[in-house]
Amino acid sequence: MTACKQVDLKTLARELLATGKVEVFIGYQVATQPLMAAPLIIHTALGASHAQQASNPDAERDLARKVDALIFDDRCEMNLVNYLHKFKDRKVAIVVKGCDSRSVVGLLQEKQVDRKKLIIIGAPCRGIIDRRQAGSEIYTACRECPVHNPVIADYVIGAPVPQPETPELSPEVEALRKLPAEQRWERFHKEMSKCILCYACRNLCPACYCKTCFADASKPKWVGRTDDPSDAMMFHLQRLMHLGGRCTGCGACVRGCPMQVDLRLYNDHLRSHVKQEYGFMAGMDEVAQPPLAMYGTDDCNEFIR
Amino acid sequence: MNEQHSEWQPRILAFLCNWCSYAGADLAGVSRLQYPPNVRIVRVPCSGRVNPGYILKALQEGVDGVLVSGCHPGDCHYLTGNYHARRKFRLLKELLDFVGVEDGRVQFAWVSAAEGAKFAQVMAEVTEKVRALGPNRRLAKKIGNPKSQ
Amino acid sequence: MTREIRIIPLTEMPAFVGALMQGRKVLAPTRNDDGLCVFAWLTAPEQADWTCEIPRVPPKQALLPRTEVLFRYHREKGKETVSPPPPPEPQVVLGLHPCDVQAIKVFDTVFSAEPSPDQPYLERRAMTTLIGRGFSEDGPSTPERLRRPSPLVFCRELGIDPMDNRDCDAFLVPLAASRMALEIMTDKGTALKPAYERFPPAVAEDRAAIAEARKLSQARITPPLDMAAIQRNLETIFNSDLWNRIHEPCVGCGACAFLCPTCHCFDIQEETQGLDGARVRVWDTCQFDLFTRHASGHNPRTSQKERSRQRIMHKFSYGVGRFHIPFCVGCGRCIAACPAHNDVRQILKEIHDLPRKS
Ligand code: SF4
Ligand code: SF4
Ligand code: SF4
Ligand code: SF4
Ligand code: SF4
Ligand code: FES
Repeated sequence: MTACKQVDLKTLARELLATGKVEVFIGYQVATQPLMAAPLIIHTALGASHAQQASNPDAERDLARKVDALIFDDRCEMNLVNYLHKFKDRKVAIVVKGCDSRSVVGLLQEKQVDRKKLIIIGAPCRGIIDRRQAGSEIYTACRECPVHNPVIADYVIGAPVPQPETPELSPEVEALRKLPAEQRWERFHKEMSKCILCYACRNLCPACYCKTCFADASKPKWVGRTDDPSDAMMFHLQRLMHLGGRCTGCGACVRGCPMQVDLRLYNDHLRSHVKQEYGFMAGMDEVAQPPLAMYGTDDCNEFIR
Repeated sequence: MNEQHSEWQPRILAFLCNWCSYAGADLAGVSRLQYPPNVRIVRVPCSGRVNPGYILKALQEGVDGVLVSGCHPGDCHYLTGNYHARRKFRLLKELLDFVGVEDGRVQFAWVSAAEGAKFAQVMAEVTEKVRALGPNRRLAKKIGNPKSQ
Repeated sequence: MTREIRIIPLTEMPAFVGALMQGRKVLAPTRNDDGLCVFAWLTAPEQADWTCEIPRVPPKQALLPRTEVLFRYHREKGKETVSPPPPPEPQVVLGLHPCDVQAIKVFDTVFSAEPSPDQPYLERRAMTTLIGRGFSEDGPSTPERLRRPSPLVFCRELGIDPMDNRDCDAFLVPLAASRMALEIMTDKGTALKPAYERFPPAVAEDRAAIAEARKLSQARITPPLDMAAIQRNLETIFNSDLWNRIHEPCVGCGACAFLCPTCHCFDIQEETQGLDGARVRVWDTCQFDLFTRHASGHNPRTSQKERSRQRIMHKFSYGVGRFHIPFCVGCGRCIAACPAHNDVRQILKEIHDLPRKS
């Protein structure tokens, strides 16, 4: 972790917004439904300069109210890094958990964000409560997360948390790997049959930022929109390919899917392949070259005639 | 070969690099080498030009097998196209294996312009392997023509 | 008007559902392998699940399938043959919440609107029998799981009564002692007689219990949202900054619209394979950039701001203006499904509370 100044979230947000160090603050607030947090995007008074804002008590009150609504706890499941694409040319501060911080690193690596305009507020995190389970279980992605403390941050809210041992590969993926192809296919078919092609997974993924995604291409059309599972397969297989060596395993896609499609299995499988084959973990080092943008003359050739 | 497939002929799509495998096919033809007629060829400028999406799309459209063939490592006309392709295809293969698409639906080869005989042999092998797998039912889309399955 | 009432013990529901399935497709709330409630076509009567809250997937697929083949074609030697799809089969939608029934009224209104009533829809609709299902928190011995649909539901604020059986062909009311009352209201309902005739008619006591539950449920419909004020406000805020705030958290996915029982937008696409093909209708949504992209490449809705605005405007202003019926029934599905936790209730409240322009 870099520059770990431990601070209070609200105090920091207030200061950053008041001094004009940032124009947009991206954090969390309590959602309208139990056990959940929603994104909270705070602007300095819309379009106005600081001088104007100071003279506008309404805007000031509004700002103060929003800053007061900021939270960080084990409900904050969204990966907010995705919103950086919305505010590309602005000075932004963003709250990131350990996993989310890797998404920021990924975007720095791919030159999608300007580090100079970005203030990263790291939030050490013990895991997010899985709201699909009754009780206090944390998400699988959290249980298997190797970076409970942010890998990059300008400020840190809260003390670092202990990093538990995590398995090299998710036990569920490992078990699936051992099944015969027939059964792996059945599982894939089942997951894909649930998908309604709403694209929430893609739209939530910080690494999916293409101006025109292949799935939205219409001249010609690459992905159909029918309920033939083959269409969902085409979408997901291609997206998985695009995320090879780039997916950080943040789990945003899985948590956001309204149909509970378990994309994690497939992301995890490829992530572990990339790690094993090229020793690469996405989102850990902002100057590293992503493995799928490189090659080795001694790469595996066995599968080629 | 499976009994029920005895009438059935696999349809195979081959993406061949213009600088090597395509010329290899030419040489096989000029040398009057026999190879199975199940293969339809798409000429591409380099194996690195083959977007994995093309391979998936071909399977979705109902071909029974896909072959991508390019220049031997080190011989790519564009120097590194096939090296990049190799990583991509490895990833694709990992993915297809894991989701349970039969091994052999998608195959890769390096065939140079001088290897007419190898070209014919690769075509025969690929065709036999796909024939043994039977028709592609997994990734093929059914809605356009439900009869086709 | 209710023509007759039968009493079915919960343990006998599979038998009833099984009888419905004779010669009909039945769409009902079920739990999938993940435990998620969805409306799905039954393959066995036991799949119908009476403990489901508002199912994540609405029943609209019965009338507007996610994929509908409009016709098929085949080309050969310059000759083209076109074949229509098979005619729709008789079907039952079972366990509809009154809000979902209201949503079907929205569908009926839109798809039968002149000058271009939608034939495939109307044909399918004519073959459809609706069996609703009431909810009531009142009544001391109502089985716990059959009481309240979900904390996200706000149908009452829109004036919809979760015990309302109008517009259904038949209607189920949960009763004490793990029983369901089946009310029959229309000819289509009476046509189900072979499925229900073996169950005993309601006695006076049951009728009184049902009437009491209705009365209590109606008493809870206060105070409804002032939809007129909302619509009035919407007319004046097309260019308001409010939309900036509303759209910012939205990621522009299709979850809210695809899972909304009233959202009815579709795209028409070609699905071809070799010489065969089908023209299909598939769900589409105003939340997608592609929805309004012209062939020229120009897109009149350039950002999520316009798209988010369109969703709210269409539901609460355009729909009301043209058809006098809001395109939202307060089922809360979009709130549950939205990955960004956007809440239409909150948006409505903000619009409602906007300061009056003088
Ligand atoms: S694919 Fe999913 S897990 Fe991977 S980076 Fe994107 S949102 Fe995160
Ligand atoms: S799926 Fe691929 S094309 Fe689409 S946004 Fe993600 S990376 Fe870009
Ligand atoms: S979020 Fe879920 S349902 Fe939507 S496209 Fe992704 S996998 Fe499919
Ligand atoms: S907009 Fe939301 S609450 Fe209203 S009907 Fe649609 S899904 Fe239900
Ligand atoms: S579900 Fe939520 S994020 Fe997706 S389009 Fe609707 S409001 Fe936006
Ligand atoms: S030119 Fe043949 S593979 Fe690149």
